[in-house]
Amino acid sequence: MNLKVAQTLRKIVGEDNVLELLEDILPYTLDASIIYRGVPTCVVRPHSTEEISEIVKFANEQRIPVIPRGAGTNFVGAVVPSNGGIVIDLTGMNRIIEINPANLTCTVEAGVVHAKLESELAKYGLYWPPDPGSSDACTMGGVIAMNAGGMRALKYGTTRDWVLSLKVVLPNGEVIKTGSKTFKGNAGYDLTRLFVGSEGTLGIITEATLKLRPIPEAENRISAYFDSIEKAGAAVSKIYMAGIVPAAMELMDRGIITAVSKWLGKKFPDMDAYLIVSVDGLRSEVETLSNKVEQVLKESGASQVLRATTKEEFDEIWLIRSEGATALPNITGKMNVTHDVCVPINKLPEAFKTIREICNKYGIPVAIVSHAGDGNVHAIFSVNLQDPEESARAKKAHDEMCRYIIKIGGTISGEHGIGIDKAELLVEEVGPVVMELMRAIKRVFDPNNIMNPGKMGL
Amino acid sequence: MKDKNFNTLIKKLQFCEHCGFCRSVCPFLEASNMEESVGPRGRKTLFLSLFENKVQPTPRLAQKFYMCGVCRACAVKCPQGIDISEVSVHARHKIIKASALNPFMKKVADSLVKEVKNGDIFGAAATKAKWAENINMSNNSDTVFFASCMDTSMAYGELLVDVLEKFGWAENTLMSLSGLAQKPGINMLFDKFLARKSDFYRKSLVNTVKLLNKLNVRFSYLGSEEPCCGAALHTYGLLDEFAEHAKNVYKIFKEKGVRRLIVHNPICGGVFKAEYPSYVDGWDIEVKHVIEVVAEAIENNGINLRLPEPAKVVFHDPCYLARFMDVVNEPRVVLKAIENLELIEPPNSKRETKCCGGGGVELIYRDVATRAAVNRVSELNAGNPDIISSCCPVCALMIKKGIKNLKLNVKYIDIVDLVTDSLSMT
Ligand SMILES: Cc1cc2nc3c(=O)[nH]c(=O)nc-3n(C[C@H](O)[C@H](O)[C@H](O)COP(=O)(O)OP(=O)(O)OC[C@H]3O[C@@H](n4cnc5c(N)ncnc54)[C@H](O)[C@@H]3O)c2cc1C
Ligand code: SF4
Ligand code: SF4
Repeated sequence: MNLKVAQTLRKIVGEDNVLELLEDILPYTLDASIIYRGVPTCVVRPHSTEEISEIVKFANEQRIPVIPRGAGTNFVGAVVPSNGGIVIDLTGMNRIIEINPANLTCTVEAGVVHAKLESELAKYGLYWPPDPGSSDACTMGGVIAMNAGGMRALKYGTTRDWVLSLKVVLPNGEVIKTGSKTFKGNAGYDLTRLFVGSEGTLGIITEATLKLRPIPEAENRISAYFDSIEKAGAAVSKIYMAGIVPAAMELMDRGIITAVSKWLGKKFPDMDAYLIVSVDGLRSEVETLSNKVEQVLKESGASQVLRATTKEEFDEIWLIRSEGATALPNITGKMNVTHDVCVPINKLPEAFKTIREICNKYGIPVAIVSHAGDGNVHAIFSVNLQDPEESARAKKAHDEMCRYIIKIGGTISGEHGIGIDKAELLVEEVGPVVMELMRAIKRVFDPNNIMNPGKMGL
Repeated sequence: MKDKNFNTLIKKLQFCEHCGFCRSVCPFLEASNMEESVGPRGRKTLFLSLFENKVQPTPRLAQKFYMCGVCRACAVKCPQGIDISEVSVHARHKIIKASALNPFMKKVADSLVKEVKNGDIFGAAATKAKWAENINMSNNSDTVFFASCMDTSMAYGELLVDVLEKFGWAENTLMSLSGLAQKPGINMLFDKFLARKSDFYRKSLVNTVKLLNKLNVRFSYLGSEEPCCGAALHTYGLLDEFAEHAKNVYKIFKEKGVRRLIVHNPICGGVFKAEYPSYVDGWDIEVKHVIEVVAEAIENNGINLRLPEPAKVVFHDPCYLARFMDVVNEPRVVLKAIENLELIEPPNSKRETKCCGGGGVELIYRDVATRAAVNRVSELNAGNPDIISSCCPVCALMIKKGIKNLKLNVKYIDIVDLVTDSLSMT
């Protein structure tokens, strides 16, 4: 690294918080996408908004790319420094600044880990509804910048619905606050919602004020098997049509069921799909809802409908869901490559069928886990990433799947974002005019394109 | 064997999804304010780069792997069961082979090799069996009480860590200190000087013997002929030396007709149980922790146990007891059987226990280790216990350090000492 850059950064954050030796920075060359790699010029570990402001201001003057980084658990290469630059590691800024039960809000620094916040909030009987599966690792800054979803999104929405206000360092070093601690707000354009899901391309989020909810009194989970995944997909719509909004509807296909069965040496019914419906609310309400859900499931052709009401029973029926990702690579001998698309709920049966056909055509084994209640489908490809030919075939299958999803009115990303992985496909979905609007917005914030360049096709 | 372990590890690492779940449980990552390169996932990336020759072995690289307490918390958390402690150990091996340790760490390596061979990792082999001089043991059984050099000589370890903590420059003279401890004549002086500290650790050994006698367990003790288990060689990455040492230890056990070991120190127990089988062909020696023996006795016959004064006790599961020896229920069976004792569970217990900050890190990266100890002790203290109990000399050292740093009133008492105090010796 250029001496002046190193000296300036050290002056801002202190000697120990600038990493530039290969031994220090190699771990910052990748994220959970695994396939994308890039070596940063250096990594800095700031501990305050003021430090970040100074770093970014300097980087902007020097036209050095800046890559904000949380825990690096995104699947799309969103924190990979494809052209060098300064990685700003926010994991050291991990204070929960305030939990305000009376106002149902909390304020956190960007590096707070989702699960840590969840356990602190639980002490007050509160929670923050978005629940990404990466909770134990991912940071709130990353969750916000990716607009993460999770299982509860069908009832509670995604991150965007639960962020009230942000403190952001703009690419010129200026610090702004968006939104307010209020549950309503109409003061001009909604910049908070713009920053949510911006993948680090507009500014660096340093603090966030979040909207909270009391933890529901009760939750039941109902599981059911189907002899075809299409039938399971159709059952999801029927549950809504019966007037029920569950907290989650998770669907696993035969690929997952078989892998878990082999992995755990446990026999499960020889069926094509497994659906788990969760209902929450007041104890009395949850019982009524559970009865109704069971009835609809049976009418939709489900077999072996089971209700779980205790923690032990939850764990039991959740086994296929929780062990899926572990079982697959151990059974197939290949890596899990998780892809994320979303379709209108009524298109789920068709989407399942076509995704399987496409993967079949390219000879790529696929297993499906779906947050089916909101049409979100995770197609887990089993790929030997060491084999370039197989990887290329998997990429073709992926692109064809995405194009098909766009065609049926879906989107190429339900929750995992665009990053590098889907940058080229984004324009196919949104079209050139919208893409140009996005670029124009980016220019307003970041005329020198220093903030996480190359992500989201920007 | 070592290569087989290595190849299995490499294969397993291919399945790593980079999910970062291991980050959430690594005590030394937490103590380093979550800096990726000294956390489990970072170690994985660096390990693969090292073996693909993308990064060279250097003292700086060594730091990444030696700042791991080999505690296996990551292995329990990882969806793929990937054990980053193995990554650390194999990387250390490669770094040592490449002579890339800094002078201090190189000196530690050299003296470990020497001292383990002599039978005591702190160089106090001459006084190792002193604790048992006036104790009656049956001494003719194929069951052996393995007292461990860590328990017998931990006072030397404590002194070493204290000196290094206060006088960083002592890194240069450190090994001559332990060298001194070996010199005839001087070693006795040392032992006198450290008597109070030694009593603290050796008391649990004396009590273990009392307990086993009380339970009518017949056992022998190998005295000054007891070998060192070599755990430190293994964790330090001195794998060739460990492999050779383990075979020798097995030979000694066989010559002495040992069929079953009872340990107090779970580090020795853990390494016998979890590592020896893959380094020693035909390893057939049963290994038990004394607390398993006590729990068995309680379940079979019941024992009257009553603490003289009522106390709230929190049990800290040593990593080696919970994750290497797979012993988690027995300490609870025992503590729950003691009248006047209220047992509280800390956050992170049983297989999910959190390392005390030891694991060898306390010798090299003292400040990080102390922060990890403080973090763990804060958790242990959360339910306001009167006593923190455990059964590992390194945990004892670090927990005492944490208590001192946090200026807490809580006491540290070994579980064996608690049981003995509760025993009516009628
Ligand atoms: C096992 C597993 C399960 C997952 N489950 C889900 C799921 O259920 N739902 C879901 O939506 N996602 C899921 N993900 C994806 C991922 O965990 C989420 O996107 C998560 O929000 C990323 O957080 P992070 O801290 O790891 O961010 P990173 O990966 O570090 O960063 C993600 C993006 O955010 C930007 N960024 C990070 N911090 C800041 C900041 N402070 N300011 C500005 N930009 C910032 C980065 O530049 C990057 O563009 C999962 C991932 C894994 C590995
Ligand atoms: S938890 Fe396991 S799979 Fe996840 S990053 Fe750590 S080692 Fe890899
Ligand atoms: S073994 Fe323990 S200290 Fe080492 S990486 Fe795993 S969790 Fe961290």
